[in-house]
Amino acid sequence: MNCRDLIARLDDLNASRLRPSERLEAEKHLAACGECRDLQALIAAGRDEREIEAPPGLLDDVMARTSGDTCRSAHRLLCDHVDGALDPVDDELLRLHLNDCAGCAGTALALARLTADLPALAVLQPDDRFVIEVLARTTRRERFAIGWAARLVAAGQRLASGWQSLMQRPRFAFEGAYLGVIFLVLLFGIPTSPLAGVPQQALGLVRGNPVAGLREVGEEVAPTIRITVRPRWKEKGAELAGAARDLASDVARRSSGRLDEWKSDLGTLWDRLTSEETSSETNGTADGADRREGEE
Amino acid sequence: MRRYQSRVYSVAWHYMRNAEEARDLAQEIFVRIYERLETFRGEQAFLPWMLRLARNACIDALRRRKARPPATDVAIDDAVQLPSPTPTPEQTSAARSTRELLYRAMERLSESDREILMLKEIQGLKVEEISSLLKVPTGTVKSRCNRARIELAACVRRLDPSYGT
Repeated sequence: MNCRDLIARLDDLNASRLRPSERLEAEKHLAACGECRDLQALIAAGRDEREIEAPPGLLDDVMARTSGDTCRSAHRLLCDHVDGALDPVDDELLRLHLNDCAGCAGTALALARLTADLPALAVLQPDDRFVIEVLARTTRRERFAIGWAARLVAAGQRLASGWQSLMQRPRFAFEGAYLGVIFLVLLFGIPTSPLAGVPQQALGLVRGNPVAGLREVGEEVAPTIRITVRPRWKEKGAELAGAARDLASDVARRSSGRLDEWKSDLGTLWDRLTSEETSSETNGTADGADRREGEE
Repeated sequence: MRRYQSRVYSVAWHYMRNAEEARDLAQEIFVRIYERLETFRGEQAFLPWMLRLARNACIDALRRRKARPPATDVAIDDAVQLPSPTPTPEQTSAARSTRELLYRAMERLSESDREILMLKEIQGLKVEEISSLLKVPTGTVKSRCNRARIELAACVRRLDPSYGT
């Protein structure tokens, strides 16, 4: 047995848990090695002293010097822990810390609740005027046109309804007649009006003899018509007569040729018919004589 | 617009912390979106693109606000309307008180912590999208977000020790 094997079995040696053969080897090594003998004596003396409690915060101090502030480390992992994105080993270590640290545990709970609550802040409802105001700023031209169209329509509707109510009034006919008279007086009765002379002229026309007037006009116009129309009439008449004569001669020429053809055709046909009739009569007489001879 | 107005208003509110300013800013954001819709490419997701525009508009507004005196804050109860009525009055009240608590806690955070929380935890953007938006590495986004979450949890616990238990 060497020193390393003895140190590994020293606790068992002191507790008398070694087998006899191992114990003999260990005692032989202790007899030969002074360092292992001192170590064995030191451990045997320490077993008799009472256990001394560690000072408070020793673990945190050691952890702070070896792996930093535990709460700070836990904070770095908390979000992933809440999101379920932490690897199992770190997650287990964090759970151990959360079991002992109320502050970090509360923060973890708050984080989990925030994950559910924060998305609800994504929407805030503005008031009802919002859309109208944005539309007014983005579609100004259309709104201008639409606004004017709406105004025109509204004015038309107001006009129609006003007219309806006016017509339903009992004095509407009287008022209409009154307004009409005023209108006519303004139109024709004022000397400065452009239509002021129209009634006088119309009256004069009605009072005069319209037939005589027309005759006078006809006599003025008739020579002009005669001069203009008569030569044209004669010229057109001569053209029409020539065309009629040409047409008649053409028709006569064509019809006489065709008639001659028809006559010759008819004569030929007549001759053929008469010759066939004569030959049939001659044959009939000869056949009768033959039959009479046979009977006899 | 009706689909995204609540989200845009929420983003504006988280940056401005003031209902009236948030409302004006949300209008401004929608006007920007309207003007720049042609630059939106169909293959990318609309929400990150919209939130990027919203964030830039918010930062511009914060810069403008620094040049003038701050507006009077409005009480959270008056500023916030719940998006939809919850089934029972008790649930409505609980949701409102939780929301108020979270807003108060978030007010105690730094602007950068608030921003990263708003983008990731509240608006639900991916780490890669936030990385592209903020022009920082994805690892930085994760660590900043975790730190902000821990900070927010601690703030909430200080305001209400029973939160989460």
